[in-house]
Amino acid sequence: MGVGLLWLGMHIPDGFLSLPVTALTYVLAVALVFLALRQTEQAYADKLVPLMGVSAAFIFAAQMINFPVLGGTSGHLLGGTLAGILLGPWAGTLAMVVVFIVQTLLFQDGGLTALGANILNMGLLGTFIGYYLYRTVRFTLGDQHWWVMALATGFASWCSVMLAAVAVALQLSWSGTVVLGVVLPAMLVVHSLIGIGEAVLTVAVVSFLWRTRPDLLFDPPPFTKKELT
Amino acid sequence: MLLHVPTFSLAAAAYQDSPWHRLAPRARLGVSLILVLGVAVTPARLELWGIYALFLLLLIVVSQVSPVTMVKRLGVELVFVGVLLLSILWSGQGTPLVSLGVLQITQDSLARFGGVLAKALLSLVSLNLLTLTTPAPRILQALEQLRFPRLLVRVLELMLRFLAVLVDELGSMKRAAQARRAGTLLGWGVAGNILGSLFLRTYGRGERVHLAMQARGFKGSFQSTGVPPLTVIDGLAVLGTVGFVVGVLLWQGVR
Repeated sequence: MGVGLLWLGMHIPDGFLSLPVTALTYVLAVALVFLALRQTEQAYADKLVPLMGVSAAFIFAAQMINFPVLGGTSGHLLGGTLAGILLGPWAGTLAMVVVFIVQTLLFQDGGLTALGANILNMGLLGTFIGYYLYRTVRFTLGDQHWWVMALATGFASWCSVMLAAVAVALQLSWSGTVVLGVVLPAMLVVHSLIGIGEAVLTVAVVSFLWRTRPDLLFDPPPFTKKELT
Repeated sequence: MLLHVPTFSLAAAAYQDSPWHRLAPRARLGVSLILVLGVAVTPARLELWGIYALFLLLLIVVSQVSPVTMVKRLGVELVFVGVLLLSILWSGQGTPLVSLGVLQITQDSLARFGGVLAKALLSLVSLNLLTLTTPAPRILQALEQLRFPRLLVRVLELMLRFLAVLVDELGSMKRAAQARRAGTLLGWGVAGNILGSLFLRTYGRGERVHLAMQARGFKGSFQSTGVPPLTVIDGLAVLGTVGFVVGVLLWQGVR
């Protein structure tokens, strides 16, 4: 549970952020949510509600799987990059946003005043940037092979965790809650380990889909397209 | 989250009767949100937090929520807040009060620790009061009436309906895997396979739900049992809370 708890340390609670940081993160997050809504509406039309509803429920459920980490502790998936790889950047971001709103409003996991920051840290950095990192690596190295897919997935998942950790540390220090010089190194060390867990599990999920239904990935590999035509 | 998701007894005190319960869900949501905002803008002073704590205590008494339930939930939620809180405690600069090697607690960091703990606690009590007494669909309805994007509310409604189904499905797959292996923690590969097949089932379910909704003539909104109109008392409750927050701020400005 130890690492699982640290992981949840990524959800900033109420009381940790100053007013300017709260306001700024909210403005950015609201803009992101509106953009994501508009983009997904264009892509899915009247399918949006059912598909996004079950996808968000999937991400929520996926966060409940515990996996073993060092020395008997366990961690759990955050799923930001996974959402991006499976659903695409906009729909993935929207699914994550929905998960955060439910966690904040109904489960009190993450603060209401920190919701904007949490959406930015794990929705924008985790899913959106995570997806484009994955895409860049995958399409630079070639789209055909499983090892490229695995490398891109793992790399993007690990980076998205690190980016989110840096963002949390920056927001807390701008709020005057912590001293950056003390907290940033600690966050980076802890999350570089947690990021490995995130990367391995994300690769494991993507590996299952690559073997069974590669056509369902947001960017299906070329060999599935050839079969269809 | 992980600890209280499986029980799903979110709105444990939803079906009692009290002046608080008789407020429209919109008004309850409003009061809770205003209080959380109020806590966020209130300067870090002990006596101001005391006033907030008294106000929340009054609300708890009025709403007849069992204090035991409230404390239990706060306990679980504070564990999650705790990790970040501890990092504040160790990150101060100045004269150390307690030293454990490189880790030291200073006066400054202790003050910030207390401040953040108080703010987090007050916000949690206020939101718990809302979620303990108001079923989730009502909260979402209230959000929609407060001009939250409709599409987002629809997705949230559908997500909540399918969350229990997916969590059940996940639970049965986990048990099946555990029955075939020793130990409660799953290996990486198994966890990956479970989540992968859960996604496949989810995706199929999304398509089926969409077709079923179309077949039943879904036109973009769920049928609800009607929106209770706002009464004078609802208005007074919201205005009273705004008055309280502003009053506390003015009072501390005068002193």
